[in-house]
Amino acid sequence: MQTNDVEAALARLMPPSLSDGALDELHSLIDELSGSSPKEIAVFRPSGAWKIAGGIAAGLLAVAGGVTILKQAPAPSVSFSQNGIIRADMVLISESDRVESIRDEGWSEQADGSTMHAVRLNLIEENRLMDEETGIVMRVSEPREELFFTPITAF
Amino acid sequence: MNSPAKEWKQWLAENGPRLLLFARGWSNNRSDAEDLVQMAILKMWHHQAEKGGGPPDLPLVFSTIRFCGLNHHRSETRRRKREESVIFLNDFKDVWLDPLMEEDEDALIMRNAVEQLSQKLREVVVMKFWGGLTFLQISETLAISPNTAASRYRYALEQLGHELRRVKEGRRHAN
Repeated sequence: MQTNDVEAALARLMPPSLSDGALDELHSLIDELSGSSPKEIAVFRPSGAWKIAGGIAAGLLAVAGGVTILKQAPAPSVSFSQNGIIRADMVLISESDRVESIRDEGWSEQADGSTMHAVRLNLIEENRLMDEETGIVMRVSEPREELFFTPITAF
Repeated sequence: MNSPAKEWKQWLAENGPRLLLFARGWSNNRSDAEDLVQMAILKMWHHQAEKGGGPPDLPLVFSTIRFCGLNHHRSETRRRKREESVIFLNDFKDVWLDPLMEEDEDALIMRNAVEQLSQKLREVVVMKFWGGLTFLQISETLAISPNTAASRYRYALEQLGHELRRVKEGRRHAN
């Protein structure tokens, strides 16, 4: 049998296509790799339960955590509604501002050459809010640090 | 100007069957072959990213499929050694090539004969005949000389011709 005859017989065969499933996977892969995948933008719309959890978490953090973290406690998140508008139905039922600790920092020389006595205060502002819709009360704590300078006038 | 994704998809539509056929030589079934193609496409994408991001040249993809196939074969051998008790059944509908016309006896004989070729010969035939590569491109893909590629092709055709003749004569005698 001649080579041409064999090639003629081979020409009557064709490679099968990739399966639909494989082709879909490849197309998805290409889309992902090229970054053109029509990804859904996840919009977080907190439900009532999430708002409660957020408030409780913020409160717990404030109670248990250190200053650095607690300064960023996301207390305002509890006052956003599903469409992102600040809700008016969160009622402030109490607020307090307490000093957690005082530390004497000693004398401090200021830029103008004067000498001041510095005191560092760690304070916690705590607000209690009530969601009128659900009746749930949330405690939101926000710690902060303040440095007080007192002029030294007598030795 | 087409987006890279569109270009790649067009390229895949044109070359997917060729790649699948070549990958069949390095896998046990169609599904594994499709996985190999996917692996190669992923590697090629990253490779091409440094060269403008367009679809790659076919010889390079064949070469990559071969590389992926070798790796797959090694891990598969290890897996089989671990699972010696498992019996692998052939999927008899899982064919490498489709005849253009149904009931084409010669084409069906040839299909079986291509599958029976040794790997060295078969990959040259696949790249040359269905991949459209030159002997030089095949030689670069397989790291052999162009003369060796051409010799393998000729030898493969001789074997295929012999097999076609043998089967047809056998059927004639049977009738």
